[in-house]
Amino acid sequence: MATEIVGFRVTIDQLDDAGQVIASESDSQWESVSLAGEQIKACKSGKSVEPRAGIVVLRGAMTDGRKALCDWINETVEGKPWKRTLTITELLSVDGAGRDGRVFILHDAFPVAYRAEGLHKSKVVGNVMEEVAIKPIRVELK
Amino acid sequence: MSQDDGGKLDGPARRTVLKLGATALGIGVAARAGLFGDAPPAGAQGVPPGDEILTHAGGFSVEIDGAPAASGRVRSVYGLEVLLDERKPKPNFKKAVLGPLRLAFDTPADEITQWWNDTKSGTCIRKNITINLRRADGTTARQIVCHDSLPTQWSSVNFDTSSTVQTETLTVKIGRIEFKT
Repeated sequence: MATEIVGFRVTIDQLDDAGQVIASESDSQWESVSLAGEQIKACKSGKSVEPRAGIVVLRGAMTDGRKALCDWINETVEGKPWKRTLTITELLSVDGAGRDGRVFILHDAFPVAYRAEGLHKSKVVGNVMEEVAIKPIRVELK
Repeated sequence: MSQDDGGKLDGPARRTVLKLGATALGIGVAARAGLFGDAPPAGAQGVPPGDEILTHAGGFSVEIDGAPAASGRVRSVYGLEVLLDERKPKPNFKKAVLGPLRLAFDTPADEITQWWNDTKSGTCIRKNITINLRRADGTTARQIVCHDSLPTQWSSVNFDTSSTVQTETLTVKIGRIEFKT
C-alpha cells in the first residue's frame, strides 16, 4: 500500500458559548504549515504539569477567499471574541485514492501575527504570499 | 536528412530542425500569451470563488483619501503587518502593533508632500489608505484598509541614474487595520 501526504486542509471553526459551530471555512490552498507542538512545563513539586502549545505558522499564496481568516484577525485586533478552533487535516493519497489522514485540532486559538508580502509595480512574477502565526491554548491529535 | 556517427545533423537538416523548433516555440509562446483568443488569464477560469490565487501579475492599487492623483502614482507598498501580544489570551486593539506602512511614490506626488506639510502643521493629519489586490480579470479580490493613518517619515526624492523613475517614500503609522475579502 503506497501512502503519501499530498497536502493538508485548514478549517477555521467559530464556536458559540455552548461549543456549537456557528461559522466554518475550509481551505486547502495554504502551502506550508509549521506545527510547533506542545511543551510541558513541570511545576517545582513535580506533581502537576502545565502543557503549553507552540505557535503554528501558516504560509501560502493569497487567495480571493479566506473570509474567516480576515474576520478572525479583524475581530481579534478589535478585542471582539477571538476564540476559534483551527483544524489541520493531512490529505493522503493511498494507492492513488484520496483520504484524510491525521487531524490536529488547535483549541482556543488566536492570531498573533500576520504578514503580507510587499507589493511592487515592477514585480510581475509569482504569487502574493501571506503568512499568519496562530497561538493555540491547547493542541489535540486525532 | 543525413546523420553522422556522433548523432549530429548536417547543415541543411540542422537548419530545418532549428526552424521547426523555433516555429513550435513561437506557437507555444503565442498560445500562452493568449494571442489566439482562447487562452484565459491564469487562474481565472474553472476556479471556484474564494480559491483563486492572487499573483503579482494581477496587480494592486492604492486609494488614499483626498489624494487621487498620488494614489495612482504608488510604486510599492511594504509593511503590511499585524503583531499581537501572544502572552495575552485576550489581545485588544491597544496591544496590536500595525505596520508601519511604507509607500513609495513616483515623483511628483504633490498631494503627499502637501499631506506631510499639513501633518507638520497639525492639520489634516489622518487619512484612510486602502490597498486593493486584484484577481487576474482585474476585479478587486482583497482589500486591506489602513484607517486613520498618520505620516511619520518622509524621504525626499531618490535620484537614481539607473532608472528613469524617481521616487519618494512615505512611512505611515496605521491607526486601525481592517481586512476585507
